[in-house]
Amino acid sequence: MSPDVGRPEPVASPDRERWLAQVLIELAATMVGDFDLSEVLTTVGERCVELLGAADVGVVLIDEAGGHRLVAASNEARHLSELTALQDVDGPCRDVARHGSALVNAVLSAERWPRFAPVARRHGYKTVHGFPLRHRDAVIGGLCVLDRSGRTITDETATAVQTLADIAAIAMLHHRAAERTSRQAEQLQQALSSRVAIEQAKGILSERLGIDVAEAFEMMRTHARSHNQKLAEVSAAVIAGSLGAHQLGSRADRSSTRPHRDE
Amino acid sequence: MDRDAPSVREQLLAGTDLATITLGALCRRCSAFLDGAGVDLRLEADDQVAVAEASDPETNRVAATQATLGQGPTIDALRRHRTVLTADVGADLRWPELGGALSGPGRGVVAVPLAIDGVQIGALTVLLGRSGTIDGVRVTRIMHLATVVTGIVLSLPIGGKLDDGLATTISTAVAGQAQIHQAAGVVSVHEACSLAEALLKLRAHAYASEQLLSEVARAVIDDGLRLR
Repeated sequence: MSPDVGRPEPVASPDRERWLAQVLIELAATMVGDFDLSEVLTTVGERCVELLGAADVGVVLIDEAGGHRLVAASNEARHLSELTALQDVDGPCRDVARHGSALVNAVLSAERWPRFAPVARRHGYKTVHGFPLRHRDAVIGGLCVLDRSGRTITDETATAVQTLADIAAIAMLHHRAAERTSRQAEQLQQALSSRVAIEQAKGILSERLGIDVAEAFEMMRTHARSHNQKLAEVSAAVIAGSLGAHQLGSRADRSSTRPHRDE
Repeated sequence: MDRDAPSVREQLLAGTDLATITLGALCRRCSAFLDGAGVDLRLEADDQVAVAEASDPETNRVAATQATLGQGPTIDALRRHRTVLTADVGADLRWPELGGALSGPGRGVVAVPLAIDGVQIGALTVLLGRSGTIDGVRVTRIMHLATVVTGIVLSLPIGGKLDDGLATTISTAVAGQAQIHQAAGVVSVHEACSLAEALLKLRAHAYASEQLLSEVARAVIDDGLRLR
């Protein structure tokens, strides 16, 4: 399906149900298999533009410190990033996040948003709509719709846009969860591979020095402590041959603790 | 579906928690979930088995024999990153040496890689009971179990400090595999070869002397055995 960016007229109401069903199917398809977050979010933005006949749509993420970041937009225009950054001070997404509910048909007034509104007006926008990206009771971001026509939207249309915003929120949360899992998998692999290396290094040292593996382990541990290194680093050095037996058995190492077996 | 029934994860962790469960206990709980079939769990990193446990001695023997010979359904699942099925692990032509080493009546095996987002962390191997046959329902159940076990293993608390931060689950199981890696270290010095070659030499010795890799490793570490 090719994006139909900048469509001048909104989707007319008799066709809307069908249109919405198609969009939901399209989005569902992008969220399985090789999941690409930016593709899902960009599609959400583009379809909002189509639905509303609006000028531009930005998907904004709000971090824990209250910073606003544009993560996807219906087009590449530079001023969308600028307008997003301004919302750290004031703007529709900021308000939406604070109240947790959508903001529709808001006129861009400088009294309401002293920083955001004048810049938005300079780019030709007249009205703005904001929809929260919700996760349970928290708001993780907002969908910001900017319109040059000044056309108002109905409650029914607003509900449809909120559905798209909910999909964007699900996609973001799914992405975060996936990132966390692969980070955990990497940590586990690292922990396991260090374990293997420690055992191998024990064996190498015990054979070189004619001592048993418990003594070899104690030697590595003492060396790690007195040189402020991790056991994994010491093991890697023993395996690589860059840390010799004589260095490990040095007086500095021996004086700090006496060997004891505790495996 | 019964909405009030405990999830597979809840069943596996019932009465225990991530901080105290051992990998052996996890194997036995998996076994109970599969109506008594044998279950072996191994975790690997850098293509080396770091941790291995089984629910019972028989399953452990089948897994250890595979590790010794370097062939079998579990080895294939790990190397090829896909589920491997066999109706009779001792009579399958894919692993000719395995048949000689495993005696007794035929046993079906399902070996599933434990992986998430393209990162493989190990494998779950199920040794079916003597009367057990492989069917779609059973395989589906095992695949589901593998997904849940992957989630459990990944949610184990792994601390930043490797000395003691590794979860109990993994630490206890490391011990079983530790001597194999220690022995590889010893042999690499004695034979002036790489660690990978040392492991192959240990395996070859085990094969030639009809022992398990773990038995040869124990002889190297505890009894001063040196290969030649």
